[in-house]
Amino acid sequence: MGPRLGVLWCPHWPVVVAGAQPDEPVAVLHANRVVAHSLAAGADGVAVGQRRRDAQARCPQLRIEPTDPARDARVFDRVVEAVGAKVPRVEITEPGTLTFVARGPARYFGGEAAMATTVVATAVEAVEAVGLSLGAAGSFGLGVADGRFAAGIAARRAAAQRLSLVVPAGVRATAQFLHGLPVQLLTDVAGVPADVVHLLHRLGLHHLGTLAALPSADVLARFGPLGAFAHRLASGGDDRLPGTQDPPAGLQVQRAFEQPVHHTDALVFVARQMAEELVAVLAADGRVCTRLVVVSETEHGEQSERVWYRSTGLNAAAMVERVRWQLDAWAQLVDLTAGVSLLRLDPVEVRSDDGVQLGLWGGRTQADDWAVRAVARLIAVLGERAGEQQVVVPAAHGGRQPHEAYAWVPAVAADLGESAERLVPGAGPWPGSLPAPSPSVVHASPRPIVVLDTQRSPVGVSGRGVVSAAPAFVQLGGNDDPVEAWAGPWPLDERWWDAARARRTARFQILTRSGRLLLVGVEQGRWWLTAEYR
Amino acid sequence: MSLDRLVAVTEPQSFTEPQSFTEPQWADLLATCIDGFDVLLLGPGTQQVRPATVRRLLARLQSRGAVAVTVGAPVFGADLRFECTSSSWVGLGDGHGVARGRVAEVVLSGRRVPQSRRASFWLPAADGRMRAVSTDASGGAVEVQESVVVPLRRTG
Repeated sequence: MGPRLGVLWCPHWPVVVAGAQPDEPVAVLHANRVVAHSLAAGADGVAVGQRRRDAQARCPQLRIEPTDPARDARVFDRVVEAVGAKVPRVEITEPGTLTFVARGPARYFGGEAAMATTVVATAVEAVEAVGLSLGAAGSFGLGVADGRFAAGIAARRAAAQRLSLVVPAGVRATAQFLHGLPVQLLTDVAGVPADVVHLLHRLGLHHLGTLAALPSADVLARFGPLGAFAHRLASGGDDRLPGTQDPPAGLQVQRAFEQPVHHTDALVFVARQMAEELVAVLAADGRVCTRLVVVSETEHGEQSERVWYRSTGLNAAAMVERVRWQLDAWAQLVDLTAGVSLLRLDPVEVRSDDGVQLGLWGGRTQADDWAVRAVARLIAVLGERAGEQQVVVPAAHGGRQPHEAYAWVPAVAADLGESAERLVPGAGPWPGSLPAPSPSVVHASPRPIVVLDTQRSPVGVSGRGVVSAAPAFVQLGGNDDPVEAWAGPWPLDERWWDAARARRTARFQILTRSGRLLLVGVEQGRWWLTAEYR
Repeated sequence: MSLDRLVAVTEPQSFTEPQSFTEPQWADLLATCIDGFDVLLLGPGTQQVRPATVRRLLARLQSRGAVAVTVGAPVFGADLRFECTSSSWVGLGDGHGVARGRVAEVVLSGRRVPQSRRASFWLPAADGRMRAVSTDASGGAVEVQESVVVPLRRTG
């Protein structure tokens, strides 16, 4: 049984921060996939994980906003500040979700239901105070239950009903609450890998109740430690990951500044060193920090303290990111009178580190993420409108002519995460296309060219595909170039059933004495240079 | 290089606007590319970049460990230089056949190569790839199976 916790959760928090009006369809995208959407967009069929073009197809008037976790965190800090004034020990899981220990405040406010009402009202007030509207994303939901998992689910259900939801205490009551809920929640709320949940589905275990009904020893034997963890969650047991413990004292890293620091960037730079130091100390014992307290103080005693939680563990980069969010929000919220003189990182919960195994082949790597970020930046440098047209990626198109086989598509419209499917050649083997090697320079629009025979009269191709004479000279840009070798014609009669798109052409390869190998085509008596082998 | 890892940045196509990037844009674009990608292929347009900018970009390139290949743009002062001295296409006859490949003689020179080296390559071979060529006693071109490893490090 986990401790009694309250979870405050806002569905689609990034949409709220993006300033969505209650009935406005808005979606927030990261790497061309929807990460959050407003209720109005959801009603039109926009869903999390959808691609940009799918979302736009479902909802043409959709307003698209890029993701900005720093901004989300900065605004959410107002909520944390307001709630923190009412209940102690508030920890931030991610922008939009906070967790607090429910026992003390529940007594103070006269019951869990009364506390829940107060906290939700406080949070809503804090959001409205900064001029944002919660209407677009629904409302805050507050769930109180035993443990993080049950409380998180309760908060999600509460948000849907615009109420607070209190699950009675005790393992049995928790298990009963979870009984009829889908196993998908294990991934959404507790971060159990999606393939484990997928496997549960395939085995016919669709609900948490059916999973909990299995003997725990069998689940452990079949699914290993992760399965046992999922089973414990489903049956309302302790939902802390195995190996979670309070760290020994004295692990905190602290820096006091002789000269108070006035710039966030300088502090973040120091925080980076501190975070790396802390992670190195923890890693030496094979542990990772899951809950971190970040404290900063100014010379005049103003203090900012936030607790950050991440179930998968905070690495150095994640710690630095959170320090930056906290400092940015603090500098905006409070009119600081002095520079920062103290910064402290204090791990208050650690667990044994199972590590994150990256795929040996394929899979996403950090380099992929860098590349995706670089593409976004390139578009920004060129300006939104121009950049979308000028930053392009290849996509298979399909066709017999060299310029038809592949096309450039704007990078914003392509799914950079899963590029392989973009490059699978389309339907059809395309009989009549030229064999490899392919030409290396393909002209976007064919250039006119003149092909002459030895008598210096134009070469023609009859309707039956017979050449009038062997090509002897080509004229490109006014210069005569004798033909060294040639091959063809390879006739092509495309789409003869469609008068508008029908095309009859015959292709030749011509090698000139100057060493250029040209791919030319003759169409209705006129010669065109379509591509060049360089 | 696999096609699904390729991103291209093209110059503006419009006739009303200037036809190339501005100087600050060049610096920003190239710096972003160096940060995000491991291999850069630069076209002749990069000749407009100022030498001072080039020097800064070169330093960044080296610290990042990325490789830049320039085509027809000698501004970047490359460490290695590949030149194609002669080439001939194979497979095309007088009205018959089809181009099966090209044998090219490539000369490698540069600051890090005291004596320039030369080798013959199928550029491209019949399957569209690049392959080394060895010449047998009868003088005909014979393909060898393994490709030579070109020591391509830290070009700038």
